[in-house]
Amino acid sequence: MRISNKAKNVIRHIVLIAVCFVLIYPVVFMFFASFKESNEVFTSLSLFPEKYRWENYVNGWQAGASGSITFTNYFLNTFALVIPVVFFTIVSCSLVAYGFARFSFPFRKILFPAMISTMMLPSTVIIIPRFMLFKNLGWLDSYLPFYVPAIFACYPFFIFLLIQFMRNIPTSFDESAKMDGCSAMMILRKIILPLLKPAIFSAGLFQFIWTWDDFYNQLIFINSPRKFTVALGLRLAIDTSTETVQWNEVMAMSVCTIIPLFIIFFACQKYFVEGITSSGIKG
Amino acid sequence: MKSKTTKSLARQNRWVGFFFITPWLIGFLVLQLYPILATLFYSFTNYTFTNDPSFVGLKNYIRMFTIDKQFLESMKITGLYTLMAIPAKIAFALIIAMILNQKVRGIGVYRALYYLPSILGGSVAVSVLWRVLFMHDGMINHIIGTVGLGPVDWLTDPGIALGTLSLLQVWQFGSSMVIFLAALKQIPRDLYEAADVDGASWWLKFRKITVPQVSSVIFFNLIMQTVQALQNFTSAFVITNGGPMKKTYIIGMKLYDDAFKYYNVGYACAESWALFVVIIALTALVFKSSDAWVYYADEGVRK
Amino acid sequence: MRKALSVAMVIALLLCSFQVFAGGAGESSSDDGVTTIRVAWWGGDARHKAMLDMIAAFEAENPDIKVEPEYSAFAQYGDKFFIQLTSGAAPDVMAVDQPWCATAVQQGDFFLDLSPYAEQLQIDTFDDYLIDNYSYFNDKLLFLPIGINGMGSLVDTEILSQFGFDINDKDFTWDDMFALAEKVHAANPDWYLCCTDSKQAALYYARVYLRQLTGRQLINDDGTMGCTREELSEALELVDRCYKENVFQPITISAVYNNTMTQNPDWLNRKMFMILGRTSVMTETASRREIDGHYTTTGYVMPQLEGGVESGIEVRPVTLYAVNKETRNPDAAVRFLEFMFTTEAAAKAIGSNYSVPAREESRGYVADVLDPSAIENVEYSLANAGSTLNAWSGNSEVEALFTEIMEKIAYGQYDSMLEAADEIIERIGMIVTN
Repeated sequence: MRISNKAKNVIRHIVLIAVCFVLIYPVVFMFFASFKESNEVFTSLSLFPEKYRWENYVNGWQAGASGSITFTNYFLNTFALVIPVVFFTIVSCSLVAYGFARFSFPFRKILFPAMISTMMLPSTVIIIPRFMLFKNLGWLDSYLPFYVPAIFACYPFFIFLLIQFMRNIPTSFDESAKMDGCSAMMILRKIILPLLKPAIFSAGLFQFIWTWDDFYNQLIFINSPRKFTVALGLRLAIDTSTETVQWNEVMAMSVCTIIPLFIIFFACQKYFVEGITSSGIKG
Repeated sequence: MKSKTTKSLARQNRWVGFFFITPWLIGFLVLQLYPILATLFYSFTNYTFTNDPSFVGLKNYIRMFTIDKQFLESMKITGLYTLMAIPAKIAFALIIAMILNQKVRGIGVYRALYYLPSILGGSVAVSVLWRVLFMHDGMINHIIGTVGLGPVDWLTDPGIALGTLSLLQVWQFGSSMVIFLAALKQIPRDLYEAADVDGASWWLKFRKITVPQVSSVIFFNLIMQTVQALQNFTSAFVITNGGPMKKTYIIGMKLYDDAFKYYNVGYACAESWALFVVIIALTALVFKSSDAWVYYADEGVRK
Repeated sequence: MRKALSVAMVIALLLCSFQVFAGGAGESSSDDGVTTIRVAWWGGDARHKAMLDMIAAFEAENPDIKVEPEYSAFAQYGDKFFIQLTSGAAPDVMAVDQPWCATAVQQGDFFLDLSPYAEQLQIDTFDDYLIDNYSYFNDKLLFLPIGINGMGSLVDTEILSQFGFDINDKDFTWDDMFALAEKVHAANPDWYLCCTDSKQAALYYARVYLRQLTGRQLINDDGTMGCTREELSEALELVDRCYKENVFQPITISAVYNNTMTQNPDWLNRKMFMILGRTSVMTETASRREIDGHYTTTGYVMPQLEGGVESGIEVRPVTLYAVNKETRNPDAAVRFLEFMFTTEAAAKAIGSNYSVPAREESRGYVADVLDPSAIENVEYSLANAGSTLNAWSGNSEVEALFTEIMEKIAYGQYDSMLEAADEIIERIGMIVTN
């Protein structure tokens, strides 16, 4: 019995590793390509570089050109942009999701579809009037176009996500708390939020990764290179009007950009899967 | 019965819920409503960024269905792309989530590694990586070559390129997977324990417990992924640039080109609104159907 | 949990205030008599570095002006250009790509007329051809060209000379090209003479051929076609032949490298030997090949049509610079342009980053860093220039249409090139009427 369990475990690992290898082969390729010589990235089919060129990381980090502005700045800027956005998103979207999931109130029947539908108009064109709006508010070339929408829960995706998970929490929990004299706010804090931990961690994680990767909005709203984020810094190195793209350095910096995301994912993953399982939610 | 009590309780403080949604309401009215209405207005004009927009009535909408053959073509391609990518992506995400939900040593590392493709997102490196994999002399053709197949022109055969592109969607299954993982953990353990006592098979447990219990999240993923796929433009932009012969020219990319490359902003807004209507209709359909197959533990406060 | 939350909150607020503060500090400028101007351009790392050095030199000489640089890669710059222009968020001094000039001028009044400053900017020292054709719109001096682009080819002379190719043959014709290509492909079935993609095929093969054939614009200024369907189909025939006679690599292999043809491993591994294009792109591609130890040099050969009406060689500015009409500091902006365009220090800092300078005097300052073959190419192009392209013929939607048709030709979608020509004519009609 024990041996067969052991064998089962080995098989599990083999399967997990095999699937994993197929899935992340491109990422592995990217990792090794970051040590290659620039043209070798395209000309050589071999996974491994002829020679490991660590200087790709040094040169890429200093962003070749700009001397005083390096990826250190881009990373600091990115954290200054992303962390507040994640924090505000979680707070505001939890409140709003709670309102929609647990209460009926005037105009709810109109407001909920309105909320959902705001994410269905393609952002490609929405960004044009939004740009004009933020320009008139004087927010261009700052991070306010990212903070303020987060403060005011302009992320229907996360509201909807939290609503879906809240609806899996039986209302009997709320009611017994209410009997004990808890206010609506206290029910949210003491009952709902702890049970919602997995969903909140996934929402926070997504917001972190997506804001980090959201090149397009950053491009439109940020002008000065000293305020650039890593997504913008990376694109800076790829200029198609000249033929000087150092793809090995681009690969090196791409590796650097995903490392923090990987670490954060790894640190968070135990929260969104290891919440309150053993006690469970009893209906 | 329970829902009745909730309802009456809620009615006592009708404005409590309103209070909780005020942040969103302010954001909606101040930051979102204006841009949305502005694009609707532009869609009836000949706006080009640089001119003073003048009203042209329904001209943009008529052009979309009569003169510009590419619009319906791109809509068709986008629909096909979504159909190929999304069901596969959701099924794949659920399967992987169940695999990663096991108690295996070092499972956290696996979870993080499996999420890696999604971390890449629309990163600039993706274009190069996919070319290396799928080009004529690429990795995939070398692998299938060893068993005597191919070579296949994955990215340049007009009949195949869209399929290759939807593979990228499936490959970035991470966010759906994470949501499924969280949902799987919300399932009360005792349901499985009871089923085990009855000697239920793995398949039966999957069908009778897992799927109904995560149905609200399947529903969520289905809607979100579909909406996202219908609007997607980065993957085509980064990998095929719409080619070969516009066979991967998905509507999101056309919108972008019309607005930012050809400066037909008014027309692009009209196309967006047409797409918007399609998405809304599809979503409404899925929402309607959800009553039949989605299970909620709150027993329907909203009804 | 709560502790973690409050820590997160403090960090978030700190970062916010840091950002807002930093943003605020940038805005509050002109208190101490220093004016700030925003200057925007696109380019790669080398150009950014050169421009920043140039700006540092400018600021050292003009302590009352502070320059806020805004630089990006070309694609991103293009995405933002018009939205910034129209919303009044454009920088004080900005780089403009030549095809955007006409579009912008047609529809609005966005740029400062520099005529009053013509003397300060020493306009008469610029190359006349560029100033006459590209700087003035409606008698207003709006755009200053920084560099000159000619047209020609980048050639792997080492290998092609084995097939009897002569770099000094200025009468190289399309027929010579086909003959050469045949020999190359016969020597090795993996070898093709020309590296290209659909867009390059449209701009540097079909369009050039059409200009040589007719000497007229593709589309007239009033939007009517400038050529007949027979003429157009003859030009398309050229590209069709290039694919059929193995001048170009098969489309199913090369289409992966659309817009990035110089990343094609077969080009990098020297299985293709010629690229037609503009001077600036060729010199940079060549310099990159030299780093890799290959021996390749720029040539001056633009295939000609026997009995053609004109050379088809288009001379245009590499980049133009303009001043925002809404700028609050026109004098500072003009002083910046004066420094950038006319001083030796600026020319030396910029070096070869804008190809060959548009002022002869500046060419002298940087003679030692310019690729001599680039200078020769530009001089040859100027001496043999065809007519300039009008707004309609260079329209981005028209170019995209041409590119699409090239691709369909490559995939063999047409029974005859007349059919393809008819499709182009029909769809140009639609673009023009909208």
